[in-house]
Amino acid sequence: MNLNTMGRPSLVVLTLCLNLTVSAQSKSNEKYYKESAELRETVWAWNNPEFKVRDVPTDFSKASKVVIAHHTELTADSKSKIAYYGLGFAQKKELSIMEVVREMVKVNDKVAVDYYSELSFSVFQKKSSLYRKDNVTTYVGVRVIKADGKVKEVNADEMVLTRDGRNKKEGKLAIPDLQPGDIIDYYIATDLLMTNDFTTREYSVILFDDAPTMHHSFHAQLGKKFAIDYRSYNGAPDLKVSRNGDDDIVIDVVKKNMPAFETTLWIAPAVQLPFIRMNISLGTRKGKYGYAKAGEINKNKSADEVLTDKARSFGYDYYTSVVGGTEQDEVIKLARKKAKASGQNLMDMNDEERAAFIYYTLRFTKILNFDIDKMERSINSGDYTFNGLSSYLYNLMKKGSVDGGVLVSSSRTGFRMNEVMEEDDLTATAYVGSKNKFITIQTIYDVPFETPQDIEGMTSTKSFTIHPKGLSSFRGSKTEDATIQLAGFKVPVSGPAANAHIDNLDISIVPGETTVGVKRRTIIRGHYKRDTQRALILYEDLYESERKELGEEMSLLEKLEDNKRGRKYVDEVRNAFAEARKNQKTAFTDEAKSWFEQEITDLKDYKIESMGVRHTAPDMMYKSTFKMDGLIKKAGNNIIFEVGRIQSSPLVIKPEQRSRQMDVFMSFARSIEFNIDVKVPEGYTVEGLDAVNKNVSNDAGAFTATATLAGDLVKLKVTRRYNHSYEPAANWDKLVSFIDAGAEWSNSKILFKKK
Amino acid sequence: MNLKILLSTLLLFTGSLSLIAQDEDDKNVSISESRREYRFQKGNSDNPVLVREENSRTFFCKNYRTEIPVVEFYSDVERIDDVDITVDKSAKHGIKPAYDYYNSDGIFYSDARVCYFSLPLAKQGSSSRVVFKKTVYDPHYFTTIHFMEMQEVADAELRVVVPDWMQVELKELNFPKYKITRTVEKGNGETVYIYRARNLPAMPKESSSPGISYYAPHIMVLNKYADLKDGRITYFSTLADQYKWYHSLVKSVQNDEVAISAKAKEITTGLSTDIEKVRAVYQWVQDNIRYIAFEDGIAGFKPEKAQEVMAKKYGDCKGMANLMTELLVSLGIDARRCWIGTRHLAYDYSTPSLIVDNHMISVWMDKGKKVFLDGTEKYIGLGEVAERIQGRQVLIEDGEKFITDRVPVADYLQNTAYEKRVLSIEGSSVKGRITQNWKGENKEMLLSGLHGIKMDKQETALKTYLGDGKPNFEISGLRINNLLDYNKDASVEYDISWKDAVSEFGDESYIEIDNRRSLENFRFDTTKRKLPYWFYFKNHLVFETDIKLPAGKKINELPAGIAINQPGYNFKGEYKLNGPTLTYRCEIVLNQSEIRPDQFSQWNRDIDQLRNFYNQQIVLTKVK
Repeated sequence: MNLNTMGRPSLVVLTLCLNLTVSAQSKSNEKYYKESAELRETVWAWNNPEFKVRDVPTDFSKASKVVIAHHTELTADSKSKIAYYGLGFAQKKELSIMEVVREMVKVNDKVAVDYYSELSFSVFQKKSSLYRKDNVTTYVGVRVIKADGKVKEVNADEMVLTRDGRNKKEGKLAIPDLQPGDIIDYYIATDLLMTNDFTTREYSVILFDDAPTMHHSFHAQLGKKFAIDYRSYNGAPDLKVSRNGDDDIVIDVVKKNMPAFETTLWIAPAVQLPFIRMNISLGTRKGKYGYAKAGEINKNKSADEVLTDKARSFGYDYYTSVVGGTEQDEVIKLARKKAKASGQNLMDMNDEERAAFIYYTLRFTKILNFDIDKMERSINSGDYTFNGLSSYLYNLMKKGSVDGGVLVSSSRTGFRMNEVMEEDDLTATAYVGSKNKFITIQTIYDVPFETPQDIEGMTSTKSFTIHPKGLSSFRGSKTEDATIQLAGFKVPVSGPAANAHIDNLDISIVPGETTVGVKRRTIIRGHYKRDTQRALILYEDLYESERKELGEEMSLLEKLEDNKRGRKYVDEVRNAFAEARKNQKTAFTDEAKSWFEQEITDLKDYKIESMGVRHTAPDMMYKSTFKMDGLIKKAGNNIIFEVGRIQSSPLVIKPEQRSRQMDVFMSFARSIEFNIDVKVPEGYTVEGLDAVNKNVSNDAGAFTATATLAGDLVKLKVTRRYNHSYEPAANWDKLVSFIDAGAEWSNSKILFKKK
Repeated sequence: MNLKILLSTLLLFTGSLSLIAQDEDDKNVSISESRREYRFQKGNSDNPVLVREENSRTFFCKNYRTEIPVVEFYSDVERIDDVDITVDKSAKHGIKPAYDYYNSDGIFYSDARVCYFSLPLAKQGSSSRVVFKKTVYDPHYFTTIHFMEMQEVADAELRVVVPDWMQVELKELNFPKYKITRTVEKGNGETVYIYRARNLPAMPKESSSPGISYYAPHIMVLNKYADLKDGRITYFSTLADQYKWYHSLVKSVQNDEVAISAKAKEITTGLSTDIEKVRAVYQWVQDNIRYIAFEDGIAGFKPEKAQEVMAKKYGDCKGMANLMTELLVSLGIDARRCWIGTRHLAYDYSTPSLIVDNHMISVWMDKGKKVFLDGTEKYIGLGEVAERIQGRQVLIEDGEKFITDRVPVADYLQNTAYEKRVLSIEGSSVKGRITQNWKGENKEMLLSGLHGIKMDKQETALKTYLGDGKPNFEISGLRINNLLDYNKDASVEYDISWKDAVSEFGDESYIEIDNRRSLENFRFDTTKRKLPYWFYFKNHLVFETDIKLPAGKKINELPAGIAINQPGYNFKGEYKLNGPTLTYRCEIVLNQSEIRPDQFSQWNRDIDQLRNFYNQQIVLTKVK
């Protein structure tokens, strides 16, 4: 679950949430309408006082909408039955989970009316197999409470079906007579019926919203065979968990009078905003093998349990991919061969060299490998994102006798390590040799030994290694036993110089012309590289570069021509490569337009000098020549050069953002640098250089600009630097001070005065 | 607007449904052969006349293997009977067409459906063939046949088989440029119209361009009547037939006169003149009825009951027009429903067909003067008319008869946006007061944007808009003269402190007066754009500034002015010095909303001139 995208349940969000993979027996419309009517009667009869409130505090009168009440009612039950499956009788577990989310909202303006005016939802889905028959049915109810107190029930059965299949029905409902000043009171109820489903279902109580909320509550009643893990985050109230007379698990939480919170600049919701997570599942009698134990209630489950689950998966990966597969052996074999071809012995290399050589062999032979049957996929392979392949890379390195492990941690903006609840909350990154030499494949452009930005600075970590106890995962089925968990280490943090975008610009001005000539040479470092690499690097160029590095003699096209099958296709591969190369000029132009936010014309001499895909040459470097508009103004006989606009639109802190209590989570420390040489046009002198100089520097970062005259060259150096990826709220003013300085500097001008 | 009538049009814009993105200039795939046949057939008592379509396209891979999206629309009145797919001569390809609801922006629900799949082209030089068999169950809905496709078509043949019992007129549009030939074969009780074309270019895709009916070669199918054994079925032989059908639908709407009358009286309480009442009713519909369109079956043509729209507070254009008309009629005001094709369509009612209109409005017959009321235009005043319906032919109900007329064409003055600044220089800042007024569609654009923002954020958003998002353009003292009454100009006033507007170099100061710089980057790429450009509306932007010069400063030379007068647009700008006050005025007039391709080069030169004009700075020197 990614809390960065997490919001409170809304009509839209619920629509997505309801798209569960489900199943069961189709219900007739008549039955559906009957059940729907019964449910409406029940929900509208709820005696919760918060749903009887009609007035909102005057403080909220200017809000677009006010959530008067939001309540979730969750009921889960199960029973055992004997069923005949064709091969014999067996016990089956039938589960029933009913979730009703009701919300009553005062809509104050047209934006809120538009938002609530249409409701889309999945009415019904079913999925069946021999052992499972599952289905989900959704019911909705909507009432509009007018300003005079009259309640108008919307006939939810008037929905239109936008999909009317046997296994899936989707519907839409238009909400009539909803106007600013009204209250909409609606619910979405999901009836989930499942068989033999022991998987964990995640529920969240999100206690922040972009609208003020007067009352937010959650109530659940789970049958005694269910189990629950739960945890409150970032100051959210505790769940009240108890048992009733039937030994059912009863859960409650209430929070009142929550002010509006709007997602703003540089936040990490998982570590900053209040919410409660629950994992609910049907338990087994003993609660072994990753399943919960029936009736178990776990508050703040230990992260060690999650780590054990992760260790089990890690061990399982080892047994399936290493013991069961031959691909990694093949990569090692190829690496040996390629090393030999280049006069080296793979096994004589030190760990780091060998790891890099194996890494590059893997990338070239398994990821960049050209597949004629999936030609477009091969050519567009730069667009794909991989999950880091930690387990695969660790096991591959192990095959290559490279020491290392997998560092398991949470991510910078994810849940804290001691607050994780499931495996997906953890991040795993392979490393080799000594600490901090990470290897990961998230894109084809990754460089070995660069630290992924999402784990930078993590201190609470574990290191996993594999010490197999046998050749089979079936021996005792304890795959976690193969995984050794050791104390991890602190992940290093990159500084602003490591993540840099440096533009060296030679600018020429021709009097009378509105554009300037620009010779550009750009260097991009570290975490800044990926988007530009994707935009500019051609697959063919990357393939050929890596091919040469690994000592392969024939180019891809030559290799195809040398092959009986490939020969038939070489022309179309050549055509596809030619088209990609033709489009590269547009990509260079678009990149320059986007970076400078000015019109770019006559682009030529464009070239990638270094792709930045090797640890021995990690910087991306490229150059081009073009004309740029938007910097020159005529002032009588003189020329004004608006140098401040070279940095495009700098970040502007809005008035409502200037005061901040929350800590600041940015992606990474970084710097942007412009080194600009402007030739003074013949017959002109330069004025105003002193006013260009600016220096606002503090612990959090800096904005500096200097201008000097060297002969007939105006030399400008402009730097914007964010020293850290994280700043405490106390440092916000420091950030603002140099961000403001950059924004002000965007008005800077130099005068070239006619002699 | 009825979606199913637009399906043939939408078919040509399947880019939005692309499963695999294809570049606009993609020349890798062409259609080597396109064969289509449309055959009128007798049906049953429910559907007496059917139109059977067989549409075969052979896609050819020119350069390298790929996959392309194939999309076919259908609806309740147009079914897909069969899909046959061959990939590189093989029927074993595993492709399963998907059938889905077609979700169109602005339409809440329609019966439009889409069949789609990704079609592989196995290798360079290979072909893949797709054959759709379809049936149109009612010839009313068989309105156009287009020739162009998403890909170039090398060889196209299109046959329309018309039995002698069916009377059809085929009207050819935009043919000359494409050398499409027609032959006619008669015999065996039928007439076969055979159209052939070679090397048809792919359908161009350019933003803000006219609708395809203006430039794409196509046939309008004007179904007149069918003589069957049970008698004649008349389709739209004449406009009277079309009106008769529309009128019958309107007559069958059971409007509740009592409820409507009560609401009309409530809306117009205290008002005495017709114009006041019309204005009040128009604005009530604009303010209270949300646009939500149902285009399901006959609902695509028949207005919803007025009382239903009134109660639900939503409806489509027909529902709003019907409600507005009924409200006015209940007040004794002569109001009528009108059918109209917006400017997106090249047609008028000289060719009766369901394709010629896509919209419904009302008209107030004010003592012989027609005042058109479009309930879907949410922030426009009475008497103001949106560009999309200006000059368009309207079919006005007149009992059993009808009236045709044209919506008047408003000139650019309807949409004037006027900004007046009175400023003075204080150090490096410029300070003063600004007044801005917006009329017509400029007003509508501003208010639409503003009302799309949460009310607690509106003032901030308005300030950001007024200051072009520039932090050095500080706005204070904002006074909203009017942003609520659409029958008056939208108007605001505010103070500004424009920091760093003055650059000082030695004894000289430099000021850039115009930071709006309207149209400065509005150039056309003449290497790519082939279709006319359509602005949303004719426009008139007036920007005036009076700046009081500081004591001890003078201007030695004023920058040159600009005066460009071209058919369709004028740019005029000048500086004047009146004692210590510098006056700047820039006026942009777009007196036509279209720039044609043959105007692009001149337009670009004129924009360059305009930008040069903007780029001039005022130079202030010290008085010695």
